[in-house]
Amino acid sequence: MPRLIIDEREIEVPEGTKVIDAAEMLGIVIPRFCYHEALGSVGACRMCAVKFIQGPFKGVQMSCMIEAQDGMVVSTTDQEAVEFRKRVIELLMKNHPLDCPVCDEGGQCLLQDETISGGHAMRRFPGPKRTYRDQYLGPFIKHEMNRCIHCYRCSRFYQEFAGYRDLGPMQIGDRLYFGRFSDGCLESPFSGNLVDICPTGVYTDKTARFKLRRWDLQRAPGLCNQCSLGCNTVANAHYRGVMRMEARFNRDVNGYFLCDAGRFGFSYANGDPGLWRRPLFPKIAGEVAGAADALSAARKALDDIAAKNGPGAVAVVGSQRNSLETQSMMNLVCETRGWLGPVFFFDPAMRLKTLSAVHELDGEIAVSMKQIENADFILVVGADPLNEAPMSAMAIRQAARKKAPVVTIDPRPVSLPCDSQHFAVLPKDIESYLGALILKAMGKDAASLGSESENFRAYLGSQLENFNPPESLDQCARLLAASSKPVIICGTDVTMETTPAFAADCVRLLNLCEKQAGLFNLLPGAGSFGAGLLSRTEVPTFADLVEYIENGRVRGLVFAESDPFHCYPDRARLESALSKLDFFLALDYFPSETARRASVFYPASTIFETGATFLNQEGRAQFASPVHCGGEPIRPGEHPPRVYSGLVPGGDHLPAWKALASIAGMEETCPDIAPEKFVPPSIPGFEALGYPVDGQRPALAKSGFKTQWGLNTFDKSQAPLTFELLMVEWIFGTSEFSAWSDSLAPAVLPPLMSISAKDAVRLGLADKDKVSVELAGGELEIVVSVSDRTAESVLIVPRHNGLEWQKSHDFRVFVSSEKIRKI
Amino acid sequence: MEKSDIINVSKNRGEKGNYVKPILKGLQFTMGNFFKKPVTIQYPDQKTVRSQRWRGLHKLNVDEKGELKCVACGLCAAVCPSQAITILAREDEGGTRHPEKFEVNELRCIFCGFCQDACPKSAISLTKIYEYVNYNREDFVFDISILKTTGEKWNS
Repeated sequence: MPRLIIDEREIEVPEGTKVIDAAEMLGIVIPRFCYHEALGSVGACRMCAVKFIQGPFKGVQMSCMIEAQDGMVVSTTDQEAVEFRKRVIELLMKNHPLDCPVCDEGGQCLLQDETISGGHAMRRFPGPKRTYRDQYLGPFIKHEMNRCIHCYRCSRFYQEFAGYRDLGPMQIGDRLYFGRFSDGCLESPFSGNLVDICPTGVYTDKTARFKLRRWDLQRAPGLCNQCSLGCNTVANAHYRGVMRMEARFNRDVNGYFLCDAGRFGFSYANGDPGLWRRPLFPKIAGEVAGAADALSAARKALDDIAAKNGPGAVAVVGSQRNSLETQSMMNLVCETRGWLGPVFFFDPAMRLKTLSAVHELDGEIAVSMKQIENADFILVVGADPLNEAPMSAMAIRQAARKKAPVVTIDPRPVSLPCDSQHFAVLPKDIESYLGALILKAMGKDAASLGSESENFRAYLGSQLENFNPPESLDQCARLLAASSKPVIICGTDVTMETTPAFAADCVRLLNLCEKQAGLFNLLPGAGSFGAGLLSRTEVPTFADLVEYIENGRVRGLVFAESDPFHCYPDRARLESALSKLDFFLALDYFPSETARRASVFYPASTIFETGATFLNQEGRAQFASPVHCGGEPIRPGEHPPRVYSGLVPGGDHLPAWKALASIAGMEETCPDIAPEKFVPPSIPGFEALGYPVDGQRPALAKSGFKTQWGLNTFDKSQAPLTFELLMVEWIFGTSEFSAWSDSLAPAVLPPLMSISAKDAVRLGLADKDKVSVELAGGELEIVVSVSDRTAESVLIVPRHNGLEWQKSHDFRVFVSSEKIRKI
Repeated sequence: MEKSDIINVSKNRGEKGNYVKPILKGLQFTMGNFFKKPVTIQYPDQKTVRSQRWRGLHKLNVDEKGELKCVACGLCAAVCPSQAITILAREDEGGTRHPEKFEVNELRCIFCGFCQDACPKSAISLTKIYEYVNYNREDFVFDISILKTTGEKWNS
């Protein structure tokens, strides 16, 4: 541990720390442009010059290029260093336009700060500034190349860190240009980070272009609720609208970065009445009503149903969008009132998968995204990280950059921003491949690992007796055997019900072989972990609930932030079931079909308007602070009303849990009900953490090995030329957030059905052919994409918002080849 | 002021006959000014001369093409101590930034002139116009069309 003195203060830092970081630990921020902790140092900008007075280096040197060593004495304020930095700024400003007033980076610009703090004010060079032609870089990023100071941060992030090749440096010297070969959308789903990472305004946020100035914004630490990872954000609001999202540093979760779906998918929270439609006013039978009226009408209707048909005739339905507060309140309401629920899951299989993913994950095997970055073998089973949880793909890339082999076992043509070995297998074969891989990696000498592992091995051995894996699996097994910190990333979307539990046991088995293996589950939504913890086995899923409605057992429903029209695969059946209900209430912030049809609609607040806790997929509880009060945003061209009143137009919305408490009459039984009273008792391990929690993981019960595994090996029952229709998620265009966020719309690609090359030959199809697939609810027309990396005997269809995939009528659908027709 | 100019009333109060002298003194002063040129300015028919640094109503300046110089950077709104300025920017066809909305609430304004100091484009300046009346308070919220023609409207 070297000790050094910086500005007459001594500090001891870990080996390998750069001087610039050592100074930061003391609270001295040395100016920098090219250096970034995540990207490392290149010494391109010459801005971090400091004077080395004693030690192995002498004179003015770049603090980002020199590692701290014993006996160093460094001065950041030495006249020579200050003068050096001042000249660097002057040179950078030689070409930088003085367009700060019109630049969206103004107010948060590193160059602006350094220029002012360096004292440069008068231009001495009389010549012209170099200029460039800007490029069109897609719907998210605005390119202004004249502002570039050639720090290389963008290309280092884009190419090295994120792993995409279409943006980079071109030409040399004064003509150095950062951009694409030609105009076009950036391919990376992490392109939004260019905005954060650029020290000046070369890349600015196009969705917020000219809408705001940095100093006008209300800012609060928030969370991204688009997927289960729970990336940390800073939400920026202005004039009662969410304007912009930035990544917030969290070492364990997302690091410095954020994916584009999270960064630009916020506009659902803004309801501009002229342009689009966030429902902000309570409605009774479609007519706008007062807040108190709507709540009391809903309470009365539900009480009547419960009085007439028993409390079990009222059911509460949530979704994967619910915050922990809402989930806990739903639980409390159902317990106290005897209502049916809370129903968090639509698909029974998804419930099983989520429950086992949540309950099989214990503190010993759970890993964070930071730990994925440090893994030396990554096994992705039944997961498509880039589409289901993009930031996890970024973490996998970081591990791959450190030479960790990446193996994917999935029916989808999983592509990652790094090299990977892909096994395209059917969902039912994923476990066999995983089991075979683990068994081979364990070797034959692992006999003394305990009885449980023996059982597991024996079971695997018997199941896999007739299994002849491809050669490449042996090679992967050797790499796995050589690794010490492998991580298994297990998805829940297309896997079989038993796979998450099986993956957890595989991790435990690897741990018995003196490895530090970890498990990282990908869950269907931000609220999935909480839903898994709070789900009780006796509570039905929505699929069961539809039956209950049809046979008259359930007469009233409460949808809390839930839209079955988006999630339930049989639209016609859902419509008829909802019409049979006496009453149903929708609490939501989306203008969904359910909200439109509801007997009573009450607007719920978004994560931006009320604080919300989410448990991410590794069980980490994080709190998102509210950023603004909400209400109808002030449209461009309007001033906030000059009438001084406490009432905000469109400000009736309540957090779903509060509206639910009011409707269930909880306010009378326990007045001033607050999340700190009902959230901790509902979640095991939460009492000790208190409320609101931030960043901690509640102590999850240790689960140990399961004794029963249902390995679906060599199930030959599927007839030849029968295809399983697999519904999958895409990064843009499949989620509800994507459906209601205009800002994401330009990035949504048209739906494509992926099939394997062999199947395409059998069916006589070519790439980009349009086909019609006959489903139970009608014909689904979709364009085919043929891929070598797709498993045989599956049709992979996105749950695309522009596609009526709800014609499938079931969660698991098989299609025979004669029902696929080229048109 | 000379000592003799001071009429010490209290000292002479109650002394009979001593009021004549002060009255004459006063009349002498009045008559002395009676034939001089009057100093009163007949406002509003007659206007005083404003100093060079006088800060009156705001004006949005235009360039030689007649377009607003303002780029809606928001610095004037940021520096305004009484929050009298509201700006919303828009992007025009050429990708440049111009104000969609530029409002100055002249009733909130304290005429400190910070806005013209902050402006990087000399787009806003304070005229010497100090007289402005309206029937409604709302009419004192000046928008771009008024601010562009401040001089014409209020001087005519």
